[in-house]
Amino acid sequence: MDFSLSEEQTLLQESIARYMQNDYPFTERQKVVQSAEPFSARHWRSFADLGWLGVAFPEADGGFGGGAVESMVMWEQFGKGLVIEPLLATVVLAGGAIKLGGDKAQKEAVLAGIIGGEVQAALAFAEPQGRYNLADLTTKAAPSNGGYRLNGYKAVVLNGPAADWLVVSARTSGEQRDAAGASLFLVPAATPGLSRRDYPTVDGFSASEITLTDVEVGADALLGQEGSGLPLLEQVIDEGILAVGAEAVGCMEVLYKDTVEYCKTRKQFGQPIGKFQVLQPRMVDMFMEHEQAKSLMYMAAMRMDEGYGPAAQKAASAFKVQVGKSGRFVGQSAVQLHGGMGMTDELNIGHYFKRLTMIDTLFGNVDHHLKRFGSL
Amino acid sequence: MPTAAEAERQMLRLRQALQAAPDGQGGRLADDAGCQRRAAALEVRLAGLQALQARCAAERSAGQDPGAKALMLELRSAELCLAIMEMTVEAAGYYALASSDSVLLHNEGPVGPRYALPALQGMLAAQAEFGPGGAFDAHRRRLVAELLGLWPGP
Repeated sequence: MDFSLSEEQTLLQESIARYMQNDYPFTERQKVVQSAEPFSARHWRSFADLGWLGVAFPEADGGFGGGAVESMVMWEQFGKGLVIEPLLATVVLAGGAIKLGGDKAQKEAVLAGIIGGEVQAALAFAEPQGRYNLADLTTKAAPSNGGYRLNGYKAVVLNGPAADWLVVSARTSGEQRDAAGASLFLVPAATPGLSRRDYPTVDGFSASEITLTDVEVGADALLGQEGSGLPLLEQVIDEGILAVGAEAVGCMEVLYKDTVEYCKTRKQFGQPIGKFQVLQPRMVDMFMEHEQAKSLMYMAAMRMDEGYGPAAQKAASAFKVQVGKSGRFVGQSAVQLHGGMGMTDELNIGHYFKRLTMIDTLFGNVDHHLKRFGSL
Repeated sequence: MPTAAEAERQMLRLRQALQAAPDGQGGRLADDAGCQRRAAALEVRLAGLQALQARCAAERSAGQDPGAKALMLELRSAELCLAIMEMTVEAAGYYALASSDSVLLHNEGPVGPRYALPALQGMLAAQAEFGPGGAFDAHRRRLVAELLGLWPGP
Protein backbone atom coordinates (compact mmCIF):
# COMPACT_ATOMS: atom_id res chain seq x y z
CA MET A 1 0.00 0.00 0.00
CA ASP A 2 1.20 3.48 -0.80
CA PHE A 3 0.36 6.07 1.84
CA SER A 4 2.51 8.82 0.39
CA LEU A 5 0.86 11.99 -0.87
CA SER A 6 1.21 13.22 -4.44
CA GLU A 7 3.00 16.47 -5.17
CA GLU A 8 -0.32 18.30 -5.57
CA GLN A 9 -1.68 16.86 -2.34
CA THR A 10 1.48 17.85 -0.49
CA LEU A 11 1.25 21.38 -1.86
CA LEU A 12 -2.38 21.60 -0.75
CA GLN A 13 -1.46 20.34 2.71
CA GLU A 14 1.41 22.80 3.05
CA SER A 15 -0.68 25.69 1.76
CA ILE A 16 -3.36 25.16 4.42
CA ALA A 17 -0.83 24.46 7.16
CA ARG A 18 0.94 27.72 6.34
CA TYR A 19 -2.31 29.68 6.37
CA MET A 20 -3.34 28.20 9.71
CA GLN A 21 0.02 29.03 11.21
CA ASN A 22 0.40 32.55 9.84
CA ASP A 23 -3.09 33.90 9.23
CA TYR A 24 -5.41 32.00 11.55
CA PRO A 25 -4.19 32.55 15.13
CA PHE A 26 -6.29 31.16 17.95
CA THR A 27 -6.85 34.63 19.44
CA GLU A 28 -8.39 35.88 16.21
CA ARG A 29 -10.60 32.81 15.99
CA GLN A 30 -11.87 33.52 19.48
CA LYS A 31 -12.73 37.10 18.52
CA VAL A 32 -14.92 35.74 15.73
CA VAL A 33 -16.56 33.22 18.07
CA GLN A 34 -17.37 35.97 20.57
CA SER A 35 -18.68 38.36 17.92
CA ALA A 36 -22.20 38.51 16.52
CA GLU A 37 -20.94 37.14 13.19
CA PRO A 38 -21.13 33.37 12.78
CA PHE A 39 -17.77 33.26 10.99
CA SER A 40 -15.12 35.50 9.44
CA ALA A 41 -16.10 36.76 5.98
CA ARG A 42 -12.48 37.71 5.40
CA HIS A 43 -11.21 34.17 5.96
CA TRP A 44 -14.06 32.74 3.88
CA ARG A 45 -13.01 35.00 1.00
CA SER A 46 -9.41 33.83 1.40
CA PHE A 47 -10.49 30.16 1.39
CA ALA A 48 -12.32 30.80 -1.88
CA ASP A 49 -9.43 32.73 -3.42
CA LEU A 50 -7.03 29.94 -2.49
CA GLY A 51 -9.33 27.44 -4.22
CA TRP A 52 -10.05 25.35 -1.12
CA LEU A 53 -13.84 25.63 -1.49
CA GLY A 54 -13.66 23.97 -4.91
CA VAL A 55 -11.24 21.13 -4.25
CA ALA A 56 -13.95 18.53 -3.57
CA PHE A 57 -16.08 19.32 -6.64
CA PRO A 58 -15.64 17.81 -10.12
CA GLU A 59 -13.93 19.89 -12.78
CA ALA A 60 -17.15 19.81 -14.81
CA ASP A 61 -18.85 21.69 -11.96
CA GLY A 62 -16.08 24.26 -11.70
CA GLY A 63 -14.08 22.47 -9.04
CA PHE A 64 -10.69 20.80 -8.97
CA GLY A 65 -11.82 17.17 -9.05
CA GLY A 66 -10.38 16.22 -5.67
CA GLY A 67 -11.39 12.98 -3.96
CA ALA A 68 -11.47 11.61 -0.44
CA VAL A 69 -7.69 11.81 0.02
CA GLU A 70 -7.67 15.51 -0.84
CA SER A 71 -10.57 16.02 1.57
CA MET A 72 -8.67 14.16 4.28
CA VAL A 73 -5.53 16.24 3.69
CA MET A 74 -7.48 19.49 3.95
CA TRP A 75 -9.57 18.60 6.96
CA GLU A 76 -6.65 17.41 9.03
CA GLN A 77 -5.13 20.87 8.63
CA PHE A 78 -8.46 22.62 9.30
CA GLY A 79 -8.60 20.61 12.53
CA LYS A 80 -5.20 21.85 13.60
CA GLY A 81 -6.36 25.42 13.04
CA LEU A 82 -9.70 24.77 14.79
CA VAL A 83 -11.40 26.48 11.86
CA ILE A 84 -14.75 28.04 12.70
CA GLU A 85 -15.88 28.83 9.14
CA PRO A 86 -18.79 26.70 7.83
CA LEU A 87 -16.80 24.46 5.49
CA LEU A 88 -18.55 21.34 6.72
CA ALA A 89 -22.09 22.66 6.31
CA THR A 90 -21.64 24.53 3.04
CA VAL A 91 -19.04 22.53 1.12
CA VAL A 92 -19.19 18.95 2.43
CA LEU A 93 -22.84 18.51 3.43
CA ALA A 94 -25.03 20.80 1.31
CA GLY A 95 -22.46 21.09 -1.49
CA GLY A 96 -21.89 17.35 -1.36
CA ALA A 97 -25.61 16.60 -1.72
CA ILE A 98 -25.84 18.89 -4.74
CA LYS A 99 -22.65 17.42 -6.22
CA LEU A 100 -24.02 13.88 -5.91
CA GLY A 101 -27.71 14.45 -6.69
CA GLY A 102 -28.08 17.77 -8.43
CA ASP A 103 -28.90 18.28 -12.09
CA LYS A 104 -27.11 20.76 -14.34
CA ALA A 105 -29.37 23.68 -13.44
CA GLN A 106 -29.13 23.05 -9.68
CA LYS A 107 -25.37 22.79 -9.84
CA GLU A 108 -25.12 25.99 -11.87
CA ALA A 109 -27.43 27.78 -9.45
CA VAL A 110 -25.55 26.87 -6.28
CA LEU A 111 -22.20 25.12 -6.72
CA ALA A 112 -20.54 27.94 -8.64
CA GLY A 113 -21.49 30.32 -5.81
CA ILE A 114 -20.19 27.92 -3.15
CA ILE A 115 -16.88 27.46 -4.95
CA GLY A 116 -16.61 31.22 -5.46
CA GLY A 117 -17.33 31.94 -1.80
CA GLU A 118 -20.49 33.95 -2.48
CA VAL A 119 -23.05 31.37 -1.37
CA GLN A 120 -23.68 29.74 2.01
CA ALA A 121 -25.65 26.53 2.37
CA ALA A 122 -26.78 23.99 4.95
CA LEU A 123 -28.06 20.44 5.09
CA ALA A 124 -31.27 20.11 7.11
CA PHE A 125 -31.43 16.36 7.75
CA ALA A 126 -31.80 15.75 11.50
CA GLU A 127 -35.11 15.65 13.35
CA PRO A 128 -35.67 15.60 17.11
CA GLN A 129 -37.12 12.08 17.18
CA GLY A 130 -34.69 10.59 14.69
CA ARG A 131 -31.47 10.55 16.69
CA TYR A 132 -28.92 9.23 14.13
CA ASN A 133 -31.42 7.42 11.89
CA LEU A 134 -31.37 9.35 8.60
CA ALA A 135 -34.54 7.63 7.41
CA ASP A 136 -36.62 8.69 10.45
CA LEU A 137 -38.51 11.58 8.88
CA THR A 138 -41.72 13.28 9.98
CA THR A 139 -41.12 16.17 7.56
CA LYS A 140 -43.33 15.55 4.57
CA ALA A 141 -43.33 16.77 0.98
CA ALA A 142 -46.73 16.47 -0.67
CA PRO A 143 -47.47 17.14 -4.36
CA SER A 144 -48.71 20.69 -4.88
CA ASN A 145 -49.19 22.86 -7.97
CA GLY A 146 -46.83 20.73 -10.05
CA GLY A 147 -44.20 20.94 -7.31
CA TYR A 148 -44.16 20.09 -3.61
CA ARG A 149 -45.42 21.50 -0.33
CA LEU A 150 -43.09 20.88 2.62
CA ASN A 151 -44.19 20.68 6.25
CA GLY A 152 -42.09 19.64 9.19
CA TYR A 153 -39.28 20.46 11.60
CA LYS A 154 -35.51 20.18 11.24
CA ALA A 155 -33.15 20.11 14.23
CA VAL A 156 -29.62 21.42 14.74
CA VAL A 157 -29.11 22.66 11.18
CA LEU A 158 -25.45 23.67 11.14
CA ASN A 159 -24.85 27.04 9.47
CA GLY A 160 -28.62 27.56 9.31
CA PRO A 161 -28.32 31.25 10.34
CA ALA A 162 -26.06 32.11 7.37
CA ALA A 163 -27.40 29.72 4.74
CA ASP A 164 -28.75 31.07 1.45
CA TRP A 165 -29.79 27.57 0.40
CA LEU A 166 -31.00 24.59 2.34
CA VAL A 167 -30.94 20.95 1.33
CA VAL A 168 -33.93 19.47 3.17
CA SER A 169 -34.75 15.80 3.63
CA ALA A 170 -38.47 15.03 3.57
CA ARG A 171 -40.68 12.04 3.08
CA THR A 172 -42.55 11.84 -0.23
CA SER A 173 -43.92 8.33 0.41
CA GLY A 174 -43.77 5.40 2.82
CA GLU A 175 -43.86 5.23 6.60
CA GLN A 176 -41.85 7.36 9.03
CA ARG A 177 -38.73 5.17 9.12
CA ASP A 178 -38.90 3.43 5.74
CA ALA A 179 -35.68 3.37 3.74
CA ALA A 180 -37.58 4.09 0.55
CA GLY A 181 -39.64 7.23 0.13
CA ALA A 182 -37.17 9.83 1.46
CA SER A 183 -36.32 12.69 -0.89
CA LEU A 184 -34.00 15.68 -0.85
CA PHE A 185 -35.01 19.20 -1.84
CA LEU A 186 -32.97 22.26 -2.67
CA VAL A 187 -34.79 25.16 -1.04
CA PRO A 188 -33.87 28.88 -0.96
CA ALA A 189 -33.60 29.86 2.71
CA ALA A 190 -35.81 32.89 2.14
CA THR A 191 -38.78 30.83 0.91
CA PRO A 192 -42.05 31.89 2.60
CA GLY A 193 -43.15 29.47 5.30
CA LEU A 194 -39.63 28.68 6.43
CA SER A 195 -38.78 30.01 9.90
CA ARG A 196 -35.63 29.67 12.00
CA ARG A 197 -34.53 29.82 15.59
CA ASP A 198 -30.81 30.52 15.53
CA TYR A 199 -28.34 29.72 18.30
CA PRO A 200 -24.63 29.18 18.89
CA THR A 201 -23.26 25.71 19.40
CA VAL A 202 -21.02 24.73 22.29
CA ASP A 203 -17.96 24.58 20.05
CA GLY A 204 -18.41 28.06 18.56
CA PHE A 205 -20.40 27.32 15.41
CA SER A 206 -23.97 28.40 14.68
CA ALA A 207 -27.08 26.34 14.09
CA SER A 208 -30.83 26.69 13.66
CA GLU A 209 -34.03 24.89 14.47
CA ILE A 210 -36.05 25.17 11.27
CA THR A 211 -39.80 24.94 10.93
CA LEU A 212 -41.35 24.39 7.51
CA THR A 213 -44.97 25.44 7.25
CA ASP A 214 -46.56 24.99 3.83
CA VAL A 215 -43.29 25.75 2.08
CA GLU A 216 -44.03 25.63 -1.66
CA VAL A 217 -41.23 24.62 -4.02
CA GLY A 218 -41.22 23.73 -7.70
CA ALA A 219 -40.56 20.29 -9.14
CA ASP A 220 -37.10 21.52 -10.01
CA ALA A 221 -36.25 21.66 -6.29
CA LEU A 222 -36.02 17.88 -6.11
CA LEU A 223 -32.42 16.63 -5.79
CA GLY A 224 -32.02 13.25 -7.49
CA GLN A 225 -34.91 10.83 -7.86
CA GLU A 226 -38.08 11.16 -5.82
CA GLY A 227 -38.11 8.63 -3.01
CA SER A 228 -34.43 7.70 -3.47
CA GLY A 229 -32.86 10.33 -1.27
CA LEU A 230 -31.63 8.06 1.52
CA PRO A 231 -28.67 6.44 -0.30
CA LEU A 232 -27.59 9.90 -1.41
CA LEU A 233 -27.89 11.26 2.12
CA GLU A 234 -25.94 8.30 3.52
CA GLN A 235 -23.07 8.97 1.15
CA VAL A 236 -23.03 12.67 2.03
CA ILE A 237 -22.95 11.84 5.73
CA ASP A 238 -20.13 9.33 5.24
CA GLU A 239 -18.16 12.00 3.40
CA GLY A 240 -18.95 14.26 6.36
CA ILE A 241 -17.60 11.59 8.72
CA LEU A 242 -14.34 11.51 6.80
CA ALA A 243 -14.14 15.31 7.01
CA VAL A 244 -14.86 15.71 10.73
CA GLY A 245 -12.85 12.59 11.52
CA ALA A 246 -9.81 14.05 9.78
CA GLU A 247 -10.50 17.32 11.57
CA ALA A 248 -10.47 15.38 14.86
CA VAL A 249 -7.15 13.79 13.93
CA GLY A 250 -5.75 17.30 13.40
CA CYS A 251 -7.15 18.40 16.77
CA MET A 252 -5.59 15.37 18.49
CA GLU A 253 -2.18 16.10 17.00
CA VAL A 254 -2.25 19.64 18.37
CA LEU A 255 -3.42 18.41 21.77
CA TYR A 256 -0.79 15.73 22.23
CA LYS A 257 2.07 17.91 20.94
CA ASP A 258 1.03 20.94 23.01
CA THR A 259 0.65 18.75 26.07
CA VAL A 260 4.10 17.23 25.68
CA GLU A 261 5.56 20.71 25.21
CA TYR A 262 3.71 21.98 28.28
CA CYS A 263 4.97 19.08 30.39
CA LYS A 264 8.52 19.78 29.28
CA THR A 265 8.34 23.41 30.39
CA ARG A 266 5.91 23.55 33.32
CA LYS A 267 7.83 23.11 36.55
CA GLN A 268 6.69 21.76 39.91
CA PHE A 269 8.89 20.70 42.81
CA GLY A 270 11.82 22.22 40.97
CA GLN A 271 11.61 20.11 37.84
CA PRO A 272 9.55 19.85 34.64
CA ILE A 273 6.38 17.85 35.27
CA GLY A 274 7.26 15.77 32.19
CA LYS A 275 9.91 14.08 34.36
CA PHE A 276 7.21 12.59 36.59
CA GLN A 277 6.89 8.93 35.66
CA VAL A 278 3.15 8.86 36.22
CA LEU A 279 2.62 11.40 33.43
CA GLN A 280 4.93 9.93 30.82
CA PRO A 281 2.90 6.81 29.85
CA ARG A 282 -0.18 8.99 29.57
CA MET A 283 1.52 11.11 26.92
CA VAL A 284 2.72 8.00 25.09
CA ASP A 285 -0.86 6.74 25.06
CA MET A 286 -2.04 10.10 23.66
CA PHE A 287 0.45 9.71 20.82
CA MET A 288 -0.68 6.12 20.16
CA GLU A 289 -4.38 7.02 20.16
CA HIS A 290 -3.69 9.81 17.67
CA GLU A 291 -1.72 7.49 15.38
CA GLN A 292 -4.39 4.78 15.59
CA ALA A 293 -7.08 7.25 14.54
CA LYS A 294 -4.83 8.57 11.77
CA SER A 295 -4.31 5.04 10.42
CA LEU A 296 -8.05 4.45 10.14
CA MET A 297 -8.38 7.88 8.55
CA TYR A 298 -6.06 6.80 5.73
CA MET A 299 -7.97 3.54 5.36
CA ALA A 300 -11.35 5.29 5.22
CA ALA A 301 -10.13 7.80 2.63
CA MET A 302 -8.71 5.06 0.43
CA ARG A 303 -11.90 2.98 0.64
CA MET A 304 -13.97 6.06 -0.28
CA ASP A 305 -11.78 6.76 -3.29
CA GLU A 306 -12.16 3.15 -4.45
CA GLY A 307 -15.89 3.75 -4.81
CA TYR A 308 -18.76 4.26 -2.42
CA GLY A 309 -20.28 1.00 -1.17
CA PRO A 310 -20.38 -1.29 1.86
CA ALA A 311 -16.57 -1.36 2.19
CA ALA A 312 -16.43 2.44 2.30
CA GLN A 313 -19.38 2.60 4.71
CA LYS A 314 -17.73 0.09 7.00
CA ALA A 315 -14.44 1.97 6.89
CA ALA A 316 -16.24 5.24 7.69
CA SER A 317 -17.94 3.69 10.72
CA ALA A 318 -14.70 2.10 11.95
CA PHE A 319 -12.98 5.47 11.63
CA LYS A 320 -15.79 7.25 13.50
CA VAL A 321 -15.62 4.72 16.35
CA GLN A 322 -11.87 5.19 16.69
CA VAL A 323 -12.16 8.97 16.50
CA GLY A 324 -14.79 8.91 19.26
CA LYS A 325 -12.64 6.78 21.56
CA SER A 326 -9.29 8.38 20.77
CA GLY A 327 -10.70 11.90 20.78
CA ARG A 328 -12.14 11.43 24.24
CA PHE A 329 -8.90 9.99 25.62
CA VAL A 330 -6.61 12.56 24.03
CA GLY A 331 -8.93 15.46 24.91
CA GLN A 332 -9.38 14.40 28.53
CA SER A 333 -5.69 13.69 28.96
CA ALA A 334 -4.70 17.07 27.53
CA VAL A 335 -7.10 18.89 29.86
CA GLN A 336 -6.02 16.87 32.87
CA LEU A 337 -2.30 17.23 32.23
CA HIS A 338 -2.75 20.97 31.85
CA GLY A 339 -4.65 21.08 35.14
CA GLY A 340 -7.57 23.45 35.75
CA MET A 341 -6.23 25.95 33.22
CA GLY A 342 -6.88 23.33 30.52
CA MET A 343 -10.55 24.26 30.55
CA THR A 344 -10.10 28.03 30.72
CA ASP A 345 -11.39 30.12 27.83
CA GLU A 346 -8.01 31.72 27.21
CA LEU A 347 -6.16 28.50 26.49
CA ASN A 348 -6.83 26.63 23.24
CA ILE A 349 -6.79 23.18 24.92
CA GLY A 350 -10.36 23.31 26.23
CA HIS A 351 -11.65 24.50 22.85
CA TYR A 352 -10.06 21.56 21.04
CA PHE A 353 -11.56 19.27 23.67
CA LYS A 354 -15.03 20.76 23.16
CA ARG A 355 -14.72 20.32 19.42
CA LEU A 356 -13.66 16.68 19.83
CA THR A 357 -16.60 16.08 22.17
CA MET A 358 -18.99 17.56 19.62
CA ILE A 359 -17.42 15.62 16.73
CA ASP A 360 -18.24 12.44 18.66
CA THR A 361 -21.88 13.53 18.62
CA LEU A 362 -21.95 14.52 14.93
CA PHE A 363 -23.29 11.83 12.55
CA GLY A 364 -23.52 9.19 15.27
CA ASN A 365 -21.49 8.42 18.39
CA VAL A 366 -19.34 5.37 19.13
CA ASP A 367 -22.30 3.16 20.08
CA HIS A 368 -24.16 4.02 16.88
CA HIS A 369 -21.22 3.29 14.61
CA LEU A 370 -20.29 0.09 16.42
CA LYS A 371 -23.79 -1.15 15.65
CA ARG A 372 -23.59 0.04 12.05
CA PHE A 373 -20.16 -1.54 11.58
CA GLY A 374 -21.52 -4.84 12.86
CA SER A 375 -24.55 -4.71 10.60
CA LEU A 376 -22.67 -4.02 7.35
CA MET B 1 -16.31 17.78 46.00
CA PRO B 2 -18.84 15.28 44.54
CA THR B 3 -20.30 12.68 46.87
CA ALA B 4 -22.11 9.38 46.40
CA ALA B 5 -25.34 11.34 46.81
CA GLU B 6 -24.33 13.58 43.92
CA ALA B 7 -23.54 10.53 41.79
CA GLU B 8 -26.97 9.15 42.68
CA ARG B 9 -28.56 12.44 41.63
CA GLN B 10 -26.67 12.37 38.34
CA MET B 11 -27.74 8.77 37.82
CA LEU B 12 -31.36 9.74 38.30
CA ARG B 13 -30.98 12.44 35.65
CA LEU B 14 -29.36 9.95 33.30
CA ARG B 15 -32.21 7.50 33.78
CA GLN B 16 -34.69 10.30 33.02
CA ALA B 17 -32.69 11.27 29.95
CA LEU B 18 -32.62 7.68 28.67
CA GLN B 19 -36.36 7.41 29.23
CA ALA B 20 -36.96 10.61 27.27
CA ALA B 21 -34.38 10.35 24.47
CA PRO B 22 -35.54 8.73 21.24
CA ASP B 23 -33.48 5.91 19.74
CA GLY B 24 -34.35 6.75 16.13
CA GLN B 25 -36.20 3.43 15.75
CA GLY B 26 -39.48 4.47 17.33
CA GLY B 27 -38.40 3.57 20.86
CA ARG B 28 -36.43 5.16 23.68
CA LEU B 29 -32.74 4.84 24.50
CA ALA B 30 -33.79 3.16 27.75
CA ASP B 31 -34.99 0.22 25.61
CA ASP B 32 -31.72 -0.09 23.73
CA ALA B 33 -29.70 -3.12 24.86
CA GLY B 34 -26.35 -1.33 24.53
CA CYS B 35 -27.54 1.63 26.57
CA GLN B 36 -29.05 -0.66 29.18
CA ARG B 37 -25.72 -2.45 29.56
CA ARG B 38 -23.77 0.80 29.91
CA ALA B 39 -26.29 2.26 32.36
CA ALA B 40 -26.28 -0.96 34.38
CA ALA B 41 -22.47 -0.83 34.62
CA LEU B 42 -22.76 2.70 36.02
CA GLU B 43 -25.43 1.53 38.49
CA VAL B 44 -23.09 -1.20 39.72
CA ARG B 45 -20.37 1.39 40.28
CA LEU B 46 -22.89 3.52 42.16
CA ALA B 47 -23.94 0.56 44.33
CA GLY B 48 -20.28 -0.05 45.17
CA LEU B 49 -19.86 3.58 46.07
CA GLN B 50 -22.91 3.58 48.32
CA ALA B 51 -21.64 0.46 50.09
CA LEU B 52 -18.28 2.13 50.62
CA GLN B 53 -20.04 5.21 51.95
CA ALA B 54 -22.03 3.08 54.37
CA ARG B 55 -18.80 1.53 55.68
CA CYS B 56 -17.26 4.96 56.17
CA ALA B 57 -20.37 6.16 57.97
CA ALA B 58 -20.40 3.08 60.22
CA GLU B 59 -16.78 3.62 61.19
CA ARG B 60 -17.41 7.27 61.90
CA SER B 61 -20.46 6.34 64.04
CA ALA B 62 -18.20 4.04 66.02
CA GLY B 63 -15.82 6.91 66.58
CA GLN B 64 -13.21 5.60 64.13
CA ASP B 65 -11.52 7.42 61.27
CA PRO B 66 -12.23 5.75 57.91
CA GLY B 67 -8.90 7.18 56.69
CA ALA B 68 -7.98 6.20 53.15
CA LYS B 69 -11.49 4.93 52.43
CA ALA B 70 -12.90 8.46 52.83
CA LEU B 71 -10.43 9.80 50.29
CA MET B 72 -11.25 6.95 47.93
CA LEU B 73 -14.95 7.69 48.33
CA GLU B 74 -14.46 11.24 47.10
CA LEU B 75 -12.26 10.18 44.21
CA ARG B 76 -14.55 7.44 43.01
CA SER B 77 -17.64 9.66 43.43
CA ALA B 78 -16.10 12.29 41.18
CA GLU B 79 -15.02 9.76 38.55
CA LEU B 80 -18.46 8.19 38.52
CA CYS B 81 -20.18 11.58 38.24
CA LEU B 82 -18.05 12.35 35.20
CA ALA B 83 -18.84 9.01 33.55
CA ILE B 84 -22.57 9.51 34.15
CA MET B 85 -22.43 13.05 32.79
CA GLU B 86 -20.66 11.82 29.65
CA MET B 87 -23.42 9.32 28.98
CA THR B 88 -26.07 11.96 29.65
CA VAL B 89 -24.45 14.20 27.05
CA GLU B 90 -24.44 11.30 24.58
CA ALA B 91 -28.13 10.73 25.25
CA ALA B 92 -28.81 14.26 24.04
CA GLY B 93 -27.62 13.32 20.53
CA TYR B 94 -27.37 16.31 18.22
CA TYR B 95 -28.85 18.59 20.88
CA ALA B 96 -25.63 18.26 22.88
CA LEU B 97 -24.30 20.76 20.35
CA ALA B 98 -26.70 23.51 21.40
CA SER B 99 -25.16 26.11 23.66
CA SER B 100 -27.02 27.41 26.68
CA ASP B 101 -26.19 30.98 25.59
CA SER B 102 -29.57 31.44 23.92
CA VAL B 103 -31.22 30.74 27.26
CA LEU B 104 -28.93 33.05 29.19
CA LEU B 105 -28.71 35.90 26.71
CA HIS B 106 -32.13 35.98 25.12
CA ASN B 107 -34.32 34.60 27.89
CA GLU B 108 -35.59 31.85 25.61
CA GLY B 109 -36.29 28.28 26.61
CA PRO B 110 -33.55 25.76 25.96
CA VAL B 111 -33.00 24.36 22.49
CA GLY B 112 -33.72 20.65 22.64
CA PRO B 113 -34.18 18.53 25.74
CA ARG B 114 -33.54 20.19 29.10
CA TYR B 115 -31.21 17.49 30.38
CA ALA B 116 -28.69 18.23 27.60
CA LEU B 117 -27.51 21.66 28.74
CA PRO B 118 -26.34 21.27 32.34
CA ALA B 119 -24.91 17.85 31.56
CA LEU B 120 -22.41 19.22 29.08
CA GLN B 121 -21.44 22.25 31.18
CA GLY B 122 -20.97 20.01 34.21
CA MET B 123 -18.96 17.50 32.26
CA LEU B 124 -16.60 20.13 30.89
CA ALA B 125 -16.04 21.64 34.33
CA ALA B 126 -15.50 18.23 35.90
CA GLN B 127 -12.75 17.42 33.41
CA ALA B 128 -10.50 20.05 34.89
CA GLU B 129 -10.90 18.73 38.43
CA PHE B 130 -9.06 15.55 37.57
CA GLY B 131 -5.91 17.40 36.57
CA PRO B 132 -2.56 16.55 38.07
CA GLY B 133 -1.92 19.03 40.82
CA GLY B 134 -5.66 19.53 41.28
CA ALA B 135 -7.83 18.40 44.15
CA PHE B 136 -8.00 14.81 42.98
CA ASP B 137 -4.30 14.51 42.39
CA ALA B 138 -3.78 15.74 45.93
CA HIS B 139 -6.13 12.96 47.13
CA ARG B 140 -4.19 10.33 45.25
CA ARG B 141 -0.92 11.61 46.62
CA ARG B 142 -2.32 11.35 50.15
CA LEU B 143 -3.46 7.80 49.40
CA VAL B 144 0.06 6.91 48.32
CA ALA B 145 1.35 8.08 51.67
CA GLU B 146 -1.47 6.90 53.95
CA LEU B 147 -2.34 3.61 52.32
CA LEU B 148 0.91 2.40 50.87
CA GLY B 149 3.23 4.09 53.33
CA LEU B 150 5.27 5.52 50.49
CA TRP B 151 6.60 9.03 50.11
CA PRO B 152 4.27 10.43 47.44
CA GLY B 153 7.03 12.31 45.67
CA PRO B 154 6.48 14.84 42.87
